[in-house]
Amino acid sequence: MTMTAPLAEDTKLGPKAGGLYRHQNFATGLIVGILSAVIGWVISHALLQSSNWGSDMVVTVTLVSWVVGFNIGIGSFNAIFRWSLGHDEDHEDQLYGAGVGQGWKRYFKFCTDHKVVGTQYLVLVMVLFGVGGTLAMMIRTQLLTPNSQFMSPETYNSIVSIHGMIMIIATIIMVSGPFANFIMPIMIGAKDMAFPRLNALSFWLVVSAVPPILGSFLLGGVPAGWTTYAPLAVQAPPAMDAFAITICTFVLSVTVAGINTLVTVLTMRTKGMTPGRLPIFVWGSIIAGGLGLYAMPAFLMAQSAMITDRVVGTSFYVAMQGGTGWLYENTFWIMGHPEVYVILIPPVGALIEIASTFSRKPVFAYKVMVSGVIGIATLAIMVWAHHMFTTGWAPTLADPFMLTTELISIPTGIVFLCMVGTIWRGSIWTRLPMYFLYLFLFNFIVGGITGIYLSDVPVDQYFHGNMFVTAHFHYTLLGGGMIGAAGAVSYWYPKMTGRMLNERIGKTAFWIIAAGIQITYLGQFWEGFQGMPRRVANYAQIFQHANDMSSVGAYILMTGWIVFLYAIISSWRHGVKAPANPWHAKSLEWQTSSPPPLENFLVDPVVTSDPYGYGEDDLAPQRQPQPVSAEAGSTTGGAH
Amino acid sequence: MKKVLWGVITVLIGAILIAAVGVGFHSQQYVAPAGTQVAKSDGTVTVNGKTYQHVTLDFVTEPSAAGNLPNGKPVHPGGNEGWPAYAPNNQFQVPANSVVTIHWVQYDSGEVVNNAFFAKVQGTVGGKANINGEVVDGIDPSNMAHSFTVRGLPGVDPNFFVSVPAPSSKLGDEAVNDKGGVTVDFSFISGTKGLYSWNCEFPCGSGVGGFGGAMSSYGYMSGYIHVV
Amino acid sequence: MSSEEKRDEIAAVVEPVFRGGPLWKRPAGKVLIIWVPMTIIGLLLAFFAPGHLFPENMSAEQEDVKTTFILFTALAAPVAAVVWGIALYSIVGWRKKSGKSDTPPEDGPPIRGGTIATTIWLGTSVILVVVLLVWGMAELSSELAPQQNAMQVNVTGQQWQWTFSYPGTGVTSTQLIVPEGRQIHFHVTSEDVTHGFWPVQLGVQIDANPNVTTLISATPNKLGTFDVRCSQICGLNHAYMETTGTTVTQAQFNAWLVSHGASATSVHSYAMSAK
Repeated sequence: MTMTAPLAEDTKLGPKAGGLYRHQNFATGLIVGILSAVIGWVISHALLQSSNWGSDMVVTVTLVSWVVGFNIGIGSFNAIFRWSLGHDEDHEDQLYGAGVGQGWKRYFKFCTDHKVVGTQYLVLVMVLFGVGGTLAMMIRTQLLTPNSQFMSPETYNSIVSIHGMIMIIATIIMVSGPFANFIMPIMIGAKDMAFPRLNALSFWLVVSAVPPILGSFLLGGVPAGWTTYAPLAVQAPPAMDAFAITICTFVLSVTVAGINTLVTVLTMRTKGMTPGRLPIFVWGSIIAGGLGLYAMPAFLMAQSAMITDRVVGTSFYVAMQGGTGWLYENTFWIMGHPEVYVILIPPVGALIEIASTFSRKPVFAYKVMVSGVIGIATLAIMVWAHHMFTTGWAPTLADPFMLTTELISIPTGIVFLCMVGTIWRGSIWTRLPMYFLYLFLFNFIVGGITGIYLSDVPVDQYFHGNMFVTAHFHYTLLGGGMIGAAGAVSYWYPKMTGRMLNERIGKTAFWIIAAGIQITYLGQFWEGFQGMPRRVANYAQIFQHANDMSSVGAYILMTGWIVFLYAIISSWRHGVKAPANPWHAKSLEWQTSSPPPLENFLVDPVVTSDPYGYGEDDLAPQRQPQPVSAEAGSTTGGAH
Repeated sequence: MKKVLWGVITVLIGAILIAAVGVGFHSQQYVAPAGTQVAKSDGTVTVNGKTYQHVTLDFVTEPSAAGNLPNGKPVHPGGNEGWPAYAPNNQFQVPANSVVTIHWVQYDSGEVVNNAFFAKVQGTVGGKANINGEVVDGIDPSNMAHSFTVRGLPGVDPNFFVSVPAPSSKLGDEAVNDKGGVTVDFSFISGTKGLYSWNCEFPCGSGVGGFGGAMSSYGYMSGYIHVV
Repeated sequence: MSSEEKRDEIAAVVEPVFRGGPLWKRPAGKVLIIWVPMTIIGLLLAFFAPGHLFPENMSAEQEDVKTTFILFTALAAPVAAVVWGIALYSIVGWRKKSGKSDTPPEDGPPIRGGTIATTIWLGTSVILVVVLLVWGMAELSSELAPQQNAMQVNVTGQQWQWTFSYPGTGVTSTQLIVPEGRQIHFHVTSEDVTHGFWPVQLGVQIDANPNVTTLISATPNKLGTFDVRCSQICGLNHAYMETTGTTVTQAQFNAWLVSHGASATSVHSYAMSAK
């Protein structure tokens, strides 16, 4: 057993520790980023404005300069600069980089501590949800009346696109950002992620990707939906360049994060943490990370070709010059379908932790569950063309893709089996996280079953491009994924913040959200049945009742999320101090203080069983978790 | 109790922020500074033995939104150089079930239209239009500049459809604002009440298919007709 | 209690899903009591709701959509009821009083899996998937089968209008007029970007792509008007890219073509054409 010196907050570092990092923070990132963007704009404007694709070139050069400049300014590349100069970071530099002795300021710096990165992600996700949710309110307000002139169709179309993409970005990182960074390494007994600097890089890349996509509103707007099908997107104003640059930057971030997650779990597990003892959430994180590594590069390709089509006049997607929009549609959905599972698998993993902890029972059919999730991930890469049933691209492939799509309901059924099996005859402890599990069980059944209709080609010929699809994927991504993420927040909140989430406010928010989801999206199913297409700024009179129902539901839903946000923020300041293990759970993250000290454990833990040995204390002593040795009981005391 | 109060305050702050964003997006919508052109009343007219109220509208199409109109007002305030635009209005108001006569002066250059169907006059009184003093039912599809195309209102007046093409300015490719205009005069019978959308069906914008730029930016080549 | 006795006791709690005691005293029986009414409600919804939700059927294809929707809902109802039934019963029957307290209730029985339950669950889902798949494939092949008296209509999408032309007759229109009782082959293309050709009440849909012609067929079987919408976002006025279609009798159809300038001979040969 190795002993590491406990690192206290007030550890004194030398005056030069950290080098350049000492002078860098979010503000320098902004300054260098903006400066770099201005330089990029001046140069490209002078040299390229007169060319055929002038404004697209200028926008592209300017925004790429921004992304690179911001990351230089915040310190993403400091280590590389140093190495190229023949220096290396010494131990004190690394401690400085991990945020030692910097108090709250570390959250605004390029900080390598995985717990800081996790918290940064959590805040970023909430901000993005705020932005996306606000845009959703714009959409629903426009659709309150037929012939609405609340916004021009141009503005409306842009809002639909940016709402979609912001929400997709937010949902991809909503669990794998905060929790796979903060909690997952502790769950496997690691001191940090395998590549702490890449971890920080993945976060600040996402941050630098946000301004371009929001700036698209000032660049003419993206009129093409979040899918930005070519050739419509090739035709779009320069806003589309900003959109594509956001995507490319975000894909880099997800790739970096995915590799980091995989390598961390492969190499950083503590003694005794065999694959068979990994918590389901860790399995979920690596499967989603691996799937992201497969899926996201396709998006990078699709959007890079979009940029070249727009900026230098290639014709990947331009039919008049021999290209085809189907190329874009294929590469997009080769990303797009695995991506929904990249979004969903981590929250499902978190919910299974919750199911076990709050039913006081082991996870039901652990191995079947893990195989089920692997099965979902495998099938997920073979179903993309079900998004293209009505494109005419390959009518002969309708049957095979119908097969793979319907097959995926078998491993998805296993997820349900595992959840209800875990609840079965459990001692149900109805704390807030468990509420979200129940809501997931309700919503995801609705989302799953409506997905089966859409997998049937003849039925899809009615429902494709129709509000039914919108309602379906909101039930899965919001009703399933975001509800799972809300469960994960309420479950791990004490560990991350050191305080208990106020459950009374949380439960109030829960009921408002639960009602809001049903009203909003049942309304949209109704629109779909009646035959209302998606993404329309305007609709015929017959759809008004359904739309009003959906809009009212959306306002309720937003209110619920704001109340939930209030619970999070107020508890962060005023909440009751959390004990190390408020849920009396058995996985490793609960065996250290809340929040954990730097490098997580005072003594390296040793694992002798999986973390689900509820009710087995007498039955099988060997199943008892012995994550930390007796003398390491002090870990629960914490360093704070 | 204090927590409830703060919760309500948080929700209110959220609602105010969202409303502020809404006001911002609402104000982005482009309505030409000349506002909605209310059709001028001009007595009554009889078509096919039926008497209708008669109203008139007039507008121009300019090759560059950046220039000025003869009255010194901008074609399209803040408009892009080289983007064609309808002026001085993009929104019109006409009474329901009346004959609307439009006087349109077209100054832009022309080219081949992608769908020759839109080089024909559709849905006007008599199925024809007076183009440069000649009563015709269509123009040469290889020299078309713009069209004024109004579509039906789904679920209300679905069969309503008016589309009138305009040929290139007399200056051809050298077209400039307010020079060498061609006139297009036609009448149509307005449908039932509602908000109808119109746009140009000639791909006179930029980008793939010519539907980018001016074609895709609300207010240049598109707008609404309020039938009241 | 010796560890062996304890083991037996736990085995006794773990087991009684499928064995032991009268059914209604076992948890499975109690869940069943919730499951039956839930399933019945689901089936009632399956059979009666779609009729009120969908627009009127105007083609054989749309009838298929509705039938399939009813069938799939009927198959899904019992499955959903299992999950919801267990979830609901778990709150009623297994929730511990200490729910609000800070200390958890006593641990539940350490059930780590169940071969029988897993097998039944997997078996059921495999059977259901096979049923769905066979049904879907059969339906699809019958839809694709060309019929004797089929005729062709060309559909062109452009930003933001549909135009329909009737080959050989020289007629082009912004309204879609089709005769009743014949399979119509829609040859769909686009002038600019991707659009989605969707004659709503005919229950079919296909994208209009530039430089490509895609095919979809529908057999209108009811006179009246239907909506034609664009189902693929196509820019500024996507929301307005709608028109109406009308199903008329063959005689009315021919007369309509003639009134739009088609010659009698061309209409005759077009009407007689079989694809």
